Amino acid sequence: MTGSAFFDSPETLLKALEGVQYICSRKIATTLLIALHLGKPVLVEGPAGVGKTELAKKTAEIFRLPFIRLQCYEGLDESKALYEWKYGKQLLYTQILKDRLNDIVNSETSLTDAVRTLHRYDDLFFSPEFLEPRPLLQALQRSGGTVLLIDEIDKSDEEFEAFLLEILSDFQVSIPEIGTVRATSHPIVFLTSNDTRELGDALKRRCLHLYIPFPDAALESKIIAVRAPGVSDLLKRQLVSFIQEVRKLHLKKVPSISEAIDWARTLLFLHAECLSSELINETMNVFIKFESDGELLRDSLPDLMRKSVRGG
Amino acid sequence: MNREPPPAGFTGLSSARPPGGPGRGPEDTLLGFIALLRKSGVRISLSETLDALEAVSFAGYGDRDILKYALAAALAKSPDEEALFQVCFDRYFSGLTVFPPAGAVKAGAPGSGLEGLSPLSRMLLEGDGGVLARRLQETVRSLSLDGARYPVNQAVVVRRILSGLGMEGLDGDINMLSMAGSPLSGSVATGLKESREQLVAFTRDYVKTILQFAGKTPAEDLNRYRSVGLTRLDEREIETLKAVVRRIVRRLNDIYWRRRRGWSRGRLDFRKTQRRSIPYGGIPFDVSWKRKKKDRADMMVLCDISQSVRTVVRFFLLFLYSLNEELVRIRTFVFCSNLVEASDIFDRCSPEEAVDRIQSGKDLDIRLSRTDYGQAFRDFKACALGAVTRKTTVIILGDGRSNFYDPEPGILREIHDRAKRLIWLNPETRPFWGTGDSAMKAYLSSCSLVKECNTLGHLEGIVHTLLKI
Repeated sequence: MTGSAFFDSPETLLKALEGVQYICSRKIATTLLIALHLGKPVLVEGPAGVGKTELAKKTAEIFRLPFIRLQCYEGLDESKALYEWKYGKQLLYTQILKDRLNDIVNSETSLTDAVRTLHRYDDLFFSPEFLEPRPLLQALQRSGGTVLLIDEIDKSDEEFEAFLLEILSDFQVSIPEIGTVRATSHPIVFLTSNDTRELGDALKRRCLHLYIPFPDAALESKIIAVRAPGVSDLLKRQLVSFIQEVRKLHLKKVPSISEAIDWARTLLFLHAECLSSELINETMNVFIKFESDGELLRDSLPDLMRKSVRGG
Repeated sequence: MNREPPPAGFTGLSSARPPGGPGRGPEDTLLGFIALLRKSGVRISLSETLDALEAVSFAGYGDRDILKYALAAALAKSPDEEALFQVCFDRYFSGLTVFPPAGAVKAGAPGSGLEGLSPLSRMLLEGDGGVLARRLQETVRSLSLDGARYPVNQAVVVRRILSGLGMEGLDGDINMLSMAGSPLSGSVATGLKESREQLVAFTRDYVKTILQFAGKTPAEDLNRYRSVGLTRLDEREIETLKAVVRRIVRRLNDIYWRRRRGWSRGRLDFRKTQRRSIPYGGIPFDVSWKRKKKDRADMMVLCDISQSVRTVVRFFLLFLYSLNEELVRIRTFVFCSNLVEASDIFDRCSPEEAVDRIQSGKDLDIRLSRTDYGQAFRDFKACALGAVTRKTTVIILGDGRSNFYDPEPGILREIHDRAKRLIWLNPETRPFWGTGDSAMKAYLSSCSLVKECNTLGHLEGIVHTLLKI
C-alpha cells in the first residue's frame, strides 16, 4: 500500500520514474502501480538487458527505501537466503562462559538436576542475537519497508521456489527455534526471470505478471536521450533505427537496451556525428558479443545501412 | 460476489462507471471475460480472479489501456498467455464501443416521436451501447452456446440472437417510418437502417468469436494431436502441430531438468566422510556424498529425407533440437541418394528454420533422387564411424526402402557393435516391413530397439526412452 498513497495515476508514476532516469511504457507504470496498490509481488520477465533489475532499483529510489537484492543461483538454499546461526559466535561464547557454566553445573548434586538447570539457559544461544539475517529476513525485519529484488528466480531450484511461497503470500517466515517472523511493513517485492525454465504455477499465482519486451523506436530514442545526453539528434535517430534493425537479424545474442546505451556513449566519446560503415565496424564489439554474430552483422551491413542510415 | 466497499478516503484512478450504466456491478462483465480467457486456454485461479477484480476497482474503466494493463498483470502469467489475453480483450471489450449514438437523428427527433417505437429501436436511437451489449450477452447466454462442442450453424445462431434482441420490432419500425413520408421520420428510418446493419455485422463477428472459443480446452487439443498421423499433412496442420511440439518439448525439458537435479547429490560416501571427520575429533561435521556423474545423452541421428518420410523427420528433428542443450548433444546426418552431415545448420539457425533448410536440400551437397541406404551407410562409415563410441546412441529414422540397391546390413552391424545403442524408427506400420523393396528384415537383427513412429505421441514416447538412459 506504500506506493498508491503517493501516486494516483500511472502518469504521475511515469513522471516520477522519468525523474530518476527510468523511461518506460505506460504498461510498466500501470502494472507497478497496481502491484503497489494490491501489495503483491511483481514477476518481471523479458529478454536480458531490458531493465528488469533496473526497474526494482529505481522503484527503491523513488520511494527512498532501502534496496535489498537476492541473486539466485543453482544450489541457493535457506541458509544463504533467509538466515543462518552464527556458529562461530555461539562456540566463542560457550568457551568464554565455560567457567560460569561450570559454576552452574557444579552447584547441582545429581546429573538430572544439572541437565535441568542447563535447559534453562540453552535458549540463550538460539536467540535473535545469534541469528545472522540474510536478504529475505532483512527485508522482513526492516521497519518502514524495503524494496526486495529476487533476481533471476529461474536459476534457483524448485525447492527454493516452493520455500518462497510462504514469504510471498503472507510476508512471514517460520524459524523453528524462534517462531514466526512477520513483516513489520510489507516490502515491495520484485522477482525477475529470464525464462530458462518454466516457473511453478503456485508462484505465478501469487505474483502479478509483467513482460517487458524490447522497446519500440520512439521509446528507445527517449531512453538514449536520457541515458546518454549529448548525442546529436541525427546520430540518435540513426543509432536507434540501426539497433532496431539488428534485433531483427537472427543473432545468438540480441543487443539489449543497456548495450545500446553503451554504444551511444562510446560514439559520443569518439565525437561521432553520424553513423558510417567504418565506425560501426570499429565499435560494434560494444553490442556484439559473439564472433559468429559479428560475421553475420558484417555480411548484412550494407543492407542495414541502407535501411536505417540512408533511409532514415 | 460479496465484496467490501473500498476504505474511506479511497480514490481510484477513475470514477467512470463501467459500461452498462448504473445498477449492475462490473463483476458480471469481468467474470464473463475471465470465462472467455479460461476457455481459450489461459489458466486462471480464484485468487487471480480476486486480484483482477481488485485491480479493476482501483484502475477503473475510464481508460481502456489502463484497464487492459491492469487485467493483464493479474491474469496473464506468461508471454504466451499475454498474447492470448490481447486477442480476447480486443474481442470481448470491442462490443461496447461499436454503436455510435445516432446523434443526428436524436437531435432532430422530438422526444415524443420515440414513444411508439420498439425497445430495440429506442436503444439504437438513444445510442445506449452498454445496455445493448449486455442484452446481447444475455441472449447469447440463454442460448447456452458455451457447451457447444460441435460446429453449429453460424447463420442460425445469428438469426436466433437477433430475434431474441427484438429484430422484428425494429424492422416494423423502419417500415412504418419510411412509409410515413415526412422528412423527419425519413431521416430517422435511414439512421435506424444504418444502425441495424451495424448490429447485424457486429452480432455476426461476436458469434464467430464465441463459437471459436466454445468447447475447446487445450488439454483435449494436445491429446487429439498426439495421435494424428504425420505422413500426410497440409501446411496449416504443420503449423498447428509445431505449436503442439513446442508445448510437449517444454514439458519434457522441465521433467528431465528436475530429474537431473535429483541425481546430482547421490548417496552418502561413508569412507570419505569418516576420513574427513578426523580433524573434528571423529564428529562427522563435513559430510561428503558419492556423486553419480551423469553424462548428457550423446546422439547421432541419421535421417532419410526422401519424400516418403520427410514430415516425420521434420517433427523428430524439431523435437530433438528443441530439447535443452544440457540434456542432449546431437550430431545430425541426412541422406537420400548419399549422406551428408547437417549439424552445422542447426548450430547456425533456429530448429524450425534449420529443418526447413535441410528439407529443401539447398545448402547441402546431397542428391535427392532415389534413396540408397547402402550408399548412406558407406558414406557414414567413411566420415563418422570413428566418432561412434560406447557412449553414443545412434538413431536412424527411415522406412528402410532401399530401391533394391544393396542394403549393406554389415555396416549397420558395425555401427551397432561400436555404439551404446542403435535405435531404428520406422514411419511405416509393422506389417509393411520387409515387403517390396523394404530391407527392414535384414536390418532388424542389428538394432537394439526398433519402433514404429508416425504420430507425435510416438515421438514423445521415444524422446522419453532416449532421456531415461
